[in-house]
Amino acid sequence: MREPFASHRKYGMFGVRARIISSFLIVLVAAFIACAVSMTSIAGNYMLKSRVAKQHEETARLALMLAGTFVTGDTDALLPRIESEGQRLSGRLMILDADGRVQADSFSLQNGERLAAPEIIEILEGAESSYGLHKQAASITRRRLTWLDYFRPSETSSEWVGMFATPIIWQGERIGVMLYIVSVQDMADSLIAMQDQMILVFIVIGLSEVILSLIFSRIITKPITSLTAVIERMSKGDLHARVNVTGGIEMARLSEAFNQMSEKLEHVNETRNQFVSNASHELKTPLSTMKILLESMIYEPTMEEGTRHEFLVDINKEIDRLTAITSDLLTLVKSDSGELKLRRESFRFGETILDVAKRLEPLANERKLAMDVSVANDIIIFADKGKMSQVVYNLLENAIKYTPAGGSIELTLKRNAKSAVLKVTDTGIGIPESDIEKVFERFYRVDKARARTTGGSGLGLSIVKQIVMLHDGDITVASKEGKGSTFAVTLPID
Amino acid sequence: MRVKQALLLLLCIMITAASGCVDPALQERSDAMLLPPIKAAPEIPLGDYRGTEIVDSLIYLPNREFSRLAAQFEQIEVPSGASLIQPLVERTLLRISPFFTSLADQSLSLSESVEPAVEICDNVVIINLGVTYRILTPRQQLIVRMALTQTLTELSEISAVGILVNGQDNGISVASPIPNGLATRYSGTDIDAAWSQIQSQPEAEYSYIKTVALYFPDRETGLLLPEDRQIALVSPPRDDIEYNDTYARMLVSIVLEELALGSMVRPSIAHSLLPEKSLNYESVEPKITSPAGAERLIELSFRPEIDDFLYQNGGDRYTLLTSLTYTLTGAVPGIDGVIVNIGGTPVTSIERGKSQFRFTNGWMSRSSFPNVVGSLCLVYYPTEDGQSLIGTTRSSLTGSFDNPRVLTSLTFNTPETLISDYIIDVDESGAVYRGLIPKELGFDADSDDIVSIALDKGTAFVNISDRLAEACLTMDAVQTRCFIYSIVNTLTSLRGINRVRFFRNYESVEFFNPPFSSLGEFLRHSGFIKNYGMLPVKLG
Repeated sequence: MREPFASHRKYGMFGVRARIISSFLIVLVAAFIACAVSMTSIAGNYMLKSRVAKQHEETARLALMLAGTFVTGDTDALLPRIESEGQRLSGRLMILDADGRVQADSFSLQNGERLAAPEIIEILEGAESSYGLHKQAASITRRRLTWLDYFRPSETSSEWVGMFATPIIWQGERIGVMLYIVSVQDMADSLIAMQDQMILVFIVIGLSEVILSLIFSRIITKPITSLTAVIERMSKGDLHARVNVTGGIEMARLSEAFNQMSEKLEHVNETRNQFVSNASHELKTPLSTMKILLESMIYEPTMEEGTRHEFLVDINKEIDRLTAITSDLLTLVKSDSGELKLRRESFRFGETILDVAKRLEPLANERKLAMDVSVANDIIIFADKGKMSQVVYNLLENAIKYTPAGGSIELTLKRNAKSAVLKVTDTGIGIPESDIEKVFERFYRVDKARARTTGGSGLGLSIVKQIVMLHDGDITVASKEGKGSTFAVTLPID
Repeated sequence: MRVKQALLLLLCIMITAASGCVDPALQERSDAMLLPPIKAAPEIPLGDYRGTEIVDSLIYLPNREFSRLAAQFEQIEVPSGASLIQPLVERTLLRISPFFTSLADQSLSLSESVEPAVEICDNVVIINLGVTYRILTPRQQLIVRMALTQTLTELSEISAVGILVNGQDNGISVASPIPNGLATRYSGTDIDAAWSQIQSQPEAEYSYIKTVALYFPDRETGLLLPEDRQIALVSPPRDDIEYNDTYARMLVSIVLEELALGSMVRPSIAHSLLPEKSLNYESVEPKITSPAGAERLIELSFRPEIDDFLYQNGGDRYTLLTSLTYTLTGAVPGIDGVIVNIGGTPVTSIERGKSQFRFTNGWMSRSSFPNVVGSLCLVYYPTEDGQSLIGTTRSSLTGSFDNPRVLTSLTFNTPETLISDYIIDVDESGAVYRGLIPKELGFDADSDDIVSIALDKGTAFVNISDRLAEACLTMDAVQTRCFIYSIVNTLTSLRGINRVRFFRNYESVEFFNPPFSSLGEFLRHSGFIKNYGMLPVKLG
């Protein structure tokens, strides 16, 4: 037995709205980072490449120009030239010999020192050019470029410099290295400015995205929220609650489907209530009758034996009736819960029909009804023989019950392509058109007063339909009030 | 939205924004590499050595007609780093001698009796020729004088050239038509024009300007440093060409007056020990005497108090007498010597250190005082903060100003006079810069700490002692830089020397701390030199 649903769950931090916003933001963040990194990288590489090419050209030109003076060792002549060139280029020039020793320095600071900079070593080892970027302490504190500088570590006291080296060649021999050191902070500043601009744009877009996402997610989740509210109302018992059909296609269809489901649920609930009401009424009626009869017998001990016997017979009839109703109810319940097991076998349907007709012939004769049975004998169906027998019995019994004396009943069984069609036609009272759709409902009686007289539980046709549906068949009814009815059962042929 | 959700979203935005606060796409180069080893140094010869080199030089010689001088190139073999002056003088004399048939088999040469044969001090060159020079006629002497002057003044640092004969001015008298005194570069090469100018002497007295060499003693060493000075003279009429004592005395007085004024070119280095006339140290006016009849001597007389004056001014009799002798014999023509009386008695002997000088009858000439003339060396000393070098001039015996051992030794110890009296530099804040290095060595390095020094093919090979090398290992970067470039810049001031290598007891090993290395070559560090006062100039 299934345990009732109980909500013990604690809801997480992220609802649909938050997930929508977070998803957009994650996509935006990922796209921005990818875009920013690649753009900065591309721009940086391009700027660097251009700068390197330009500086190398300048350095090579200087090396060529000063080689002749350097080889003589005349630093009195060399120094003014590299000083003026250094000023012109706004950088620092150094000339190193083949041992990596600074022999001329436009800043006159490191003469005599051997510099182990990788750019110098590469040239000494044979490279045609070399460069490297380095950070060094700035001579002046750089002004802050953007507001983001406040979030960066204190780097305004350092600057990027580029070191560009080319060999000094004299008469085919590598005699030294020309080293040009220049600030490339302008390039770094350009990249930082570009990056900061992108960050600013991202922040603006990000905030806009958050606001739009808030609005958009609200639009998306509003129908869901409304639906949730309606469901909560329905779970509390208000089955009349319906959802307003709004939103996009999906939400509109969901709302409509929900409303349809609600309709059906409400109808089922009503039907169930009706069914329970009918069932209790049907069960209560024979019990009440039995009680009256028994109370009469109890409170009239001097009742005549014949009357007493009659009462007991009536009580017995009522018990039979109760038993039949209960049995039918059980059958229907089993069928509803899927517990009804079909014992299928292949058999000649015609023989079953003849058998049932034969059993009900005395009843038909009693009512002076003509019964005509015309069945094809070669139709074999794979079905539960007992249940199919019950189907034929219920239909034929109903036809007998609702056909006045002198009428006729016809049973036919024919093949129609791959189906077997059983028709039970009577010349009875017929069914009003407004009731045709309801005759297969449980406990439904067209004329309740008449049903009392004719007996039955009001479940016969429900059972017939249930059994036919279980056999993948179909049942239809055509009727004209006062003229008669025809019930047609279609079953697949084995 | 929940507060947590809002905060989480804000965090996402800030993290992304913060991610932009990283450096742009610039990668700092940080790969560590090793410098290749320094090439092996060449072997150096044992002991001091100077290679030789051929230098193209210009000398002036007369044409066949002796009407003009013409310049011609000569290839002269010169020791590495040595001055060109003496080789030029010798080559000029060698080339010009054949022009004069009067010399016959003899040739002009430098004096063999007076040392130094060539005095070189800053811009002044004084050439002591032998007596052969007197064989030449006055016009021929003029040609020689012009040739030597034009040849030597081709060198940018030389502006005055004097010719002496055996340490004496060659003139017969102050009226002599023979040109004497120091000559500056002639405006042209026209010999006839120059001779005409000398010959066109007025009949009456006339005034003229003569350039003489005044010898001032160096404050530190006492060596005499010749300095050219123009003096205005009154010359006797043309006809009075015989020796005229009156005019000679006038010349002596003028020269002594100029000598008493002191050095005007290098007053911080050289001083005058001759008191001014107004101080009345002279007891008698200068006289021209001839004690033995043939010679002419200048006789000076001073009161005994002059010794006090000398003591107070950091001098002694020796320094005064050398200054007077060299100045007067070189400036006054026809003078054979000088007699100095102090307290009425002629000075006939002087002791200086372990040496004793004797003068017969008080007669002093240049030959009485050998090895007393100095030259100026350019030596670089670091400033007190070790951030620059100052080029200073130090005196050394003439002929040794281009001696690398002398120069290098001088760099080891900053003289006290330079430290205390000679302010190398004063900046705007009033800070005084003096020498630095000597105090850091911990000992007085000297010439013995130079095991050897060689000059060859433009490179100086400085081979220092173990003691000095060990001292280098205790130096920091500033001190090492000062030590290295004090030597390098001093030696690369020599003509043709551009590179310096260091050795330790003939081995090419490391004895400088990083980032310096004692292996390899050092070039002149021009940017390390702070010019103050005198400009350091390469001598050559």
